[in-house]
Amino acid sequence: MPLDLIKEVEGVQIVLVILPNETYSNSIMEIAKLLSNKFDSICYVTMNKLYDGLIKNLENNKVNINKFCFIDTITKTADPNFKGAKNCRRISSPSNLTEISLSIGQELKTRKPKCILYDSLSTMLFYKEDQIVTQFVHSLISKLRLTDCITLFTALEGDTEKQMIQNLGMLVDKIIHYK
Amino acid sequence: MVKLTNLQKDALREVENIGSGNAATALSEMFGTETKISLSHLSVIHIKHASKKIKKHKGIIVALYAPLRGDFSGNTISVFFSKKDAFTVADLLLNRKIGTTRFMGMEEQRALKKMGDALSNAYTSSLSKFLKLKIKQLPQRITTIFGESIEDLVFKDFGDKKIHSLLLKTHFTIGSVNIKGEFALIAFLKSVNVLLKAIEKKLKKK
Repeated sequence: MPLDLIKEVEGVQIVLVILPNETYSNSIMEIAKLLSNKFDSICYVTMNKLYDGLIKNLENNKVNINKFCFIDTITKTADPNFKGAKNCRRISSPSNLTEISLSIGQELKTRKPKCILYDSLSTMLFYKEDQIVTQFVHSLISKLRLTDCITLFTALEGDTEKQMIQNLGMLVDKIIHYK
Repeated sequence: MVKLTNLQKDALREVENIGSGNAATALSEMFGTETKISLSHLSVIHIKHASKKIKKHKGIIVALYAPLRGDFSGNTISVFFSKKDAFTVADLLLNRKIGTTRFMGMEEQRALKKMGDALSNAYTSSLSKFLKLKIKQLPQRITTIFGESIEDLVFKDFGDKKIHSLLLKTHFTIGSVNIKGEFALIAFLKSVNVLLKAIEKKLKKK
């Protein structure tokens, strides 16, 4: 029986979603669609899909992109001239933790999203050591707990043995293995 | 697919041969171990088909990407199929014990970019010298993307235009650590025409 993600996140605020490598791309689109059916305002933090491609993917999957705002941490690594878009904040790199934190804070203040899809911790672990990412996520979670926004952090199944993911397991309200 | 004459194909293969030879030598010296380069695809092909020729690896890949400008515009892209492979390459390049690198800091990124430069330069210099083309390579960029999104990166400068491109794709294998990766050189239509004209000019001289 397929997992009912929306039911799973009811009554919780911070969730870690573990995605299988093989189905990651489809799974993340399914999750975005489910969230857009449930929430009117979603902030999508992307770390491994370029903005244009992400928008195209969402549209192809009939996801209402008008409900989304984006914090794009990856496009500028490939294209320093990327200008962003009206609904998109550009970050220089997934390793720029200060910019990411500030941008999320600004979105929480201005657009007040009801949900954040943070995709993904696995990419952050490529650029920064475990301990730094753990501290960052710990601080981010503390900030998020002061809001009424639900946050889904994603990580790839292959990274579940990483210390950071194991530590995070203790900080979140729920861990969901998305199949 | 654009039908090339046998002579044009031969000339393109010659450029690729010189490039592969240069790349293998440069990387072998860089790594201190034999690096093999083998051609997997070379043609002038419609963008739509070219994107299908780029392997869509499942999982996060590490890509080194450099735009090309001048007489010949396009992109080069070098791909590692796992984060672990990229870390191992960084260890090799920084003369560290394999397994030391655990994340891609600035020093590791610089080392990998040098490798990307060596690969790109090998092919662009063979194009420049053999066909007398002026090619400017912009700085390497390193990015991590989900493998299935690689076409967004490779073809991002092409827009949605239904155009042809030159696709040169090779595999590289770094001997002692058995790391496999892919390198691709993709040219815009205008550059394909410039390239074919340069080949014609070269052939007329012979």
